[in-house]
Amino acid sequence: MNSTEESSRVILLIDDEEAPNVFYVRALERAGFRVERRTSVDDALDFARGAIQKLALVILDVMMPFGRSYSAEDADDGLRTGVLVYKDIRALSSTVPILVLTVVRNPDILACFEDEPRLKVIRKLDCTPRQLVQQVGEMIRKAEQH
Amino acid sequence: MRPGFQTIIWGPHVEDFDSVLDAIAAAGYHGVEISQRPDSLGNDMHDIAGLLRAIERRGLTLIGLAGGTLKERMDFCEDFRPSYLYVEEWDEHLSPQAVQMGFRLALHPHLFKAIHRLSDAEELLANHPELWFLPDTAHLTVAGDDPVKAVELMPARLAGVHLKDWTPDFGRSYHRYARGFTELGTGSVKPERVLAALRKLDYREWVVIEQDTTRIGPEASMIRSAEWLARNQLPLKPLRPMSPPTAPRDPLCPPRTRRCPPEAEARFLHSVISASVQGLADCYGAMAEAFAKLVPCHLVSLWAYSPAKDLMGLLAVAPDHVKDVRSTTRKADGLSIEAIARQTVTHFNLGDPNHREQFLSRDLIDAMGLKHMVSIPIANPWNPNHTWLLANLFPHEQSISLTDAELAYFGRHLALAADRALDDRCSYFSSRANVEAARSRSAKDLLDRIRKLIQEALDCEGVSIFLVNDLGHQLEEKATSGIDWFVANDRRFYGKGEGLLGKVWERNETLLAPDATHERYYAGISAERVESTDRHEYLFSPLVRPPGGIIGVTRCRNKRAPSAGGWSNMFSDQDAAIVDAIGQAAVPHLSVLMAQERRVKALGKLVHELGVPLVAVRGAIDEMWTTREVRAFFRRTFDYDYLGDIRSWSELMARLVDNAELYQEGVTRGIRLRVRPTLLRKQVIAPAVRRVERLLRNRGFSQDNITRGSFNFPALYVDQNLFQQVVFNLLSNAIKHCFADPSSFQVEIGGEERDAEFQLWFRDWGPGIEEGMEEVIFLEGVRGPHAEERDVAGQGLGLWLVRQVVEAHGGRISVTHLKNPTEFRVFLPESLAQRAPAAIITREATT
Repeated sequence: MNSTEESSRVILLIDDEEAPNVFYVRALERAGFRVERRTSVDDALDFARGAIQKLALVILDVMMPFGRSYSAEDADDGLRTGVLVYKDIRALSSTVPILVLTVVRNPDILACFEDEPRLKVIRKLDCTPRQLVQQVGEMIRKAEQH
Repeated sequence: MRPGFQTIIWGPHVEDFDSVLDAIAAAGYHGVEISQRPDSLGNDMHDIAGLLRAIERRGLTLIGLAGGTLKERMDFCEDFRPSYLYVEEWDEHLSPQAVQMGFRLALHPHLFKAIHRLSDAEELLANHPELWFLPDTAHLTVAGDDPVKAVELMPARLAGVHLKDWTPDFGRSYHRYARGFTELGTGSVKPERVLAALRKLDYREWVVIEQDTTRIGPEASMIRSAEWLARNQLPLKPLRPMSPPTAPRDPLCPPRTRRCPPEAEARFLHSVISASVQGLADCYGAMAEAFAKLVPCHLVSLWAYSPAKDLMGLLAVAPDHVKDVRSTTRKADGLSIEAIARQTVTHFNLGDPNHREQFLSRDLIDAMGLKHMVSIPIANPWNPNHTWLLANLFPHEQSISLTDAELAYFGRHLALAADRALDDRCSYFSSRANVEAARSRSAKDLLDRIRKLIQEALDCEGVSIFLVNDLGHQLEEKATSGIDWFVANDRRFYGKGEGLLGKVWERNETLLAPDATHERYYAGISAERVESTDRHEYLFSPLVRPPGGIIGVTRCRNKRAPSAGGWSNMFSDQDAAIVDAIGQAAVPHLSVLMAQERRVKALGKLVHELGVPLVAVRGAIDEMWTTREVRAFFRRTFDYDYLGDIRSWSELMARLVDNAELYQEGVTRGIRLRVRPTLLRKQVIAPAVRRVERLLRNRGFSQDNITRGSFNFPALYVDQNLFQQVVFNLLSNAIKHCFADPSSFQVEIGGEERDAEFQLWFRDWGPGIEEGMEEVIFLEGVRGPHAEERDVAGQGLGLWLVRQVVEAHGGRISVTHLKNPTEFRVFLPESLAQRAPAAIITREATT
C-alpha cells in the first residue's frame, strides 16, 4: 500500500482518552492514513452516519462515557460503551473493518463482540504504535480483497 | 426519676401474687405496673381496694395496669386513677371516654401492632393531644428507631418509660424477637444513654423495668436489673431480705386444682413432646389428636393466628377425616376474636343464636351436632402478648371435667412443643444457609442459593430478593425464581415507601398479605411468575444486619398447601420466623462478599487507570525507538541505553498490570480463556523470556542464563497471553529467589510428551523449596518463608495465578523436585492439541 493510496483511506478512531492515542494517530498519519479522531461517542456516531462509505477502518475503544446515545444501564456505566458503538457501526456497514483497541481484558465484555472476520480485538498493552499500523494495514488489505 | 417494675416477667398466670409484690418491694423498687389480667390476681386482690391495700402495705405505688382490655381495666379501677393506663392505640370510642373520666392513657408503640414505629407514635400523639407517651427502649430499637430520640420527642408528655434491653441473637421475626429481651446492660440497646437523656430533660416520672421473659428466673432477673439501676444511680430503696426465690419461672405454671387423671396427663404430655420432634408440618396433627384424646371431643381444630389481619390458618383437625372445617385460611370469627382478646379459655354455647351467628362453619354445627366450643388461646412461650395458636375444642359433653386453668396449662405445653419444632426448623435452615454461604463464589451466587433455600423452606411458588442499592435510594431485584415487571426498564425498582416492598423497607417490619391487591400500598409494579396466577398471597420479610440496618427485602408468593400433614396454605408467622432465621445467617456473609466485590471492582478500575498512562509511555518510547536520530542522540549523549531501559521497565510494568487484572478476574469470576492454536516455544516461551529481561539485568543476569530445551509440541489450544503470563511468573519467581551470585543462576525450560499429557518443566538452581511447602506456595497471598528475610519483592500472587490459568486449561501444576534443581512441572491434557478446553471462549487470534 503506498502513501497516496493510504492518504485516501480514512480511519475513524473513537476513544475518549487523549494521551495514548496521540502516538497511535501520529504513527498512522506517518504511514499515510487520514485519521479522524472523535472523543465522544455521540460525535463519532454522527460522523460515521455521514461518512460510513468513506471509512477504510474504525478503531474503537471499549470503556468510554456513554454520552447521550446510550443509557448508563445499557453501557454498564461506561464499561461496555464500545460494544454498543460496535453494534451501531455494524448496523451502518457490514463490511467496514473494525479494530477494537482496548485496555480491557475482561472476557465477559470482549465476548460481546461478534466472532467475525472483519473484527479484531487487541489490547493496547500488547500493541505498540508500529504494531498498530501493521495490523491496520493488514485488515484493510484483507477487506479490499473480498 | 422513680424506678418501678412490671410483673409480666412472671407470666400471664400468677398463682401467688403476694410473693410477687414482696419480691418487688424487697428489691428496692418504688412502684409496680401490673400486666396480668386484673381479674386473675386472686387472693384478696380481686378488686381495686384489695389490690391497693396489698401494694401500699409493701410501700409500693401502683403505677399502671396493662392486662386485659382497656374497658376491663377502667372498670376495675373504679374511682382510683393510676399514673397511667397502658394502651397500644387510640380507640375512637373508648379512649375519649377514658380521658374524660380522668385516666391518663399512655401510648406504648409495640412491634407488629398498629403503632410500631416512632413516626407512627409521633403522628398519633400529634392528632391526640390528650394522649400520653410510654416509649419502650427495646421495641423501638428493634423497629430501627433510637429510644433517645423517642424520649426527647415530647418530654412533657412522657407518662413513663419502659426500660428494656434486647439482643439480636434470635432475629427480628414476630415469632422470635421477644426471645431477645434481656436484662439491662446485656443487650444492644444501651439503656444508659436513655437515662442520660432523661436526666438532661429533668424527667421525674417513672422508669419501669419491663422484661417479658428471662432465662434466669424472675427474682434473679429483677435483682440483676436493680443492680444495674443502682450502678447507674437510680434511687432504689435499700435492698431487703427476700423470701427464697422461686425456682426459675416454670412457664407451664401447673394449676393448683387438678382434675385430670395423672395417666391422661402423662399421655397428653408424651404425645405432645413426641410431636415436637416430628417436624413442623406433622406435629400439629399429633397435637390436635392429643387434645381430642384428653377431652373427648367430636372435633378439635388447631389454628395459627395472625393478628396483622386477624387471620386464622388451619393447621390441623382431629379426627382428620372431617372435611367440612377445611377452610384453610379465613378471617377470625367473632368467637375466636373474643377468646383472643380475653387471653383466656372461653366457653361458647353454640345453641345460643348469637354465638352460632358468629361461628363460621354453621353447617358443621348441624352436621355434627356440635353444642359447645371451648377456645383456648395459646400464647407464644416467649411473648405472652402474642396469641400464636388457637385450639378450638368441641367436646361431647356440655361441661367438661377439666378446669379452664388445666386447659390453659395443657395449651402452654403444646406451645412449648410447637415452639421447639419451629426452633428446630429455624436452626436447620439457618445451618443450611451457612453451608450455602460457604459454597458461594460471589454475592449473586449467594443470593441465588438463599433464594432457593427460602423457597424450599416455605414450599411456596415464588421468591425474589431485593437489595437496597449502594446509594441507598432504591430497592433492586437481585435474585428471583422468575419475575414479571409491569413497568419500563428504567423504572424497575422500588423507592422507599413505594409499593408494599418499599413500605416494608421504610417500616422495617414483616408483612403478611393474603391478597396483596387489597393492600393499601399495593403498587402492582412487579410479581413473581407462579402456577396459581390468580393468587396474590405474599410474605415480605426485611433483610437486616444483625446489629441493625435494613439491607433488603425478601418477597415470597403463594404458599402451597402442605403435601404431607397440615392443612393451611397461608403464610404464617412461623414462615416469617424461618425466613428471618435464614436471612440472619446469610446477611453477614453477603455483606462480606459485597464488600470484597466492591474492593475488587475498585482495584479493577485502578488497574485500568494504571494501564492508560502505561500505554502512553510505551507509545512514546516506541516512537522514539523507531526514530533513528533519537536513538543516535541518546547513544551519543549518554553512556547508557536509557531508551532500552525504559522500554524494558515499561514491559515489566505491563506484565505486573496483567497480573493485577488476572488476580481481579480470578477472585471475582474465575479465569476465562480466549484460546487459539499456539506454538508454545515460539509464541509463549520466547516472548516471556524477552519480558523478563529487565528483571535479569537488575540481578546482573542475561537471557543466556535461560536455556530452552529442544521440544516440539504441536500447536495447542491455549490462551496465548495468559500462558505468556504463566511463564513470565515462573521465570520471575526463579529470578527473584535465586542466589546473588550471577554465575550460579541458571534456568532450564523443557518439555516432553508423556502419559497422554504435554509436560513443561521449569528448573532452577536456587535456594529451593522447603519440604511441606509444595502446596502452600500456590495459595493466594502466601509467600515463601524466607521471602521477607531475603527482601524479595512480591505479593504472593504469582504462583496462585499460574495455577488458576493452568487449571482453567484443564491442566495442573506441581513442584516435582524441591532443590538442585527446583522443578515446577506443568501438565496439559493431550486433547489441547485437537480442541479447546471445555466451556471457554474461543476466539480467532490476533497476531
